[in-house]
Amino acid sequence: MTAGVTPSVAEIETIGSVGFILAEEAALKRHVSGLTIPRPRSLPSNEVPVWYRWPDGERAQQYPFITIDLLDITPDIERQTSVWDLGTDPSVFEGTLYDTDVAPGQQPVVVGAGQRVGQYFPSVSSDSMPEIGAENPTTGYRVENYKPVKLVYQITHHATSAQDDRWLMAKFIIDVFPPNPVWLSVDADKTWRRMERLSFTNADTQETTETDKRHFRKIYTISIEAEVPVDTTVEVVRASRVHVDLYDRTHEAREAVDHDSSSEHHIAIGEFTEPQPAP
Amino acid sequence: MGFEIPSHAVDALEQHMLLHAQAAHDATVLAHRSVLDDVREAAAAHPSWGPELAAQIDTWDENDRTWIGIRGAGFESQAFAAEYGDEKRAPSGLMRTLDNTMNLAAQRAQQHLASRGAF
Repeated sequence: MTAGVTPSVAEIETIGSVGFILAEEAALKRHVSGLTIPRPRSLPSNEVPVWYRWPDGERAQQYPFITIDLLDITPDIERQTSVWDLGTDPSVFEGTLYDTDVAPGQQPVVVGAGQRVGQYFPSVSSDSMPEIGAENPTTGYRVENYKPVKLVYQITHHATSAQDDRWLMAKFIIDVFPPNPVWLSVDADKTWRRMERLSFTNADTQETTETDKRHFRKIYTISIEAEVPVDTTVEVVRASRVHVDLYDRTHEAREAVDHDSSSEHHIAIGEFTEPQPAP
Repeated sequence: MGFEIPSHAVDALEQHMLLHAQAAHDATVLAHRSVLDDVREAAAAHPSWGPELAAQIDTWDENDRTWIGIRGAGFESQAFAAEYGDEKRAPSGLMRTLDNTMNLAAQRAQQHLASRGAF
């Protein structure tokens, strides 16, 4: 659900309400961040930085580093044509229970499966979450279903030494993108998303403009499950007028359910049965 | 104990099988052509690939699998840079995002088989 929802609910908080792609990309960056290559005591151990695309030339190039590139957003035909019912069997959106008692600025800690509490899913409304299939008992919102799509990413680690390259490879293959299935925790809606490692490419021999450096590149192509909403809420307003028709209980004539309340009504008062005197 | 099959029935069966084999072959060629045309068109329009490199894209069968890519070493490094990117160019991922292209080719091949009564 998107766009201005007024006046019964708050305006969309575009900064805080992370939505489609932004939520998955932030989760992916967090997933590949935090690697620190062990060094001898005489050398500093720096965390391997992660960039979206190759870092700008103005930035001091620190090796090794990791880059993230979005390659494609493609319909997930297998899931779209499966008989899987998202409403009754929401396996993709299996909830994640986070320990909310963390210090400000610290990442929440996953403590086990639980109820989903986030705001994305994939709405960006700052109001309560819509429910699939059945109405949310509080807001009355519901969505029919979502269209499954796949986000395809290229993750690359770059190094100038074979030692760093091999250490990163080991970490990536064992911890970052282990054999399938791989699960990505998306903080925006507190869900686990399935990732697939589609391919691995050794690009050490690739020539670069940095001809003085040996350049070790390992490229991982991955896909992440995501959804886009089929329904779009443009506006939600309170009812300003309620139209009620009164009918004789014994008379079968009725106006159509969707009749125009401002047009002439066809059930004449004369068709009402005469009130009977009380016995 | 045995039974006899009339020669005209054997001829009809053989003819039927030949027609199906030809339909399957034509469907395979059609699928290859569909993939090749779509990928070449996408590559020609992509700034990292361009028309010259797109013309080098080919499909072929090898080890019981269908391949698509650049055959020969002449344009390999150019194609690699276009596909995976470098510090100057973003990766295109053209050869790694062919799900829709393959689905379309499979649909066309199946339609061809159906039109020939072989599916």
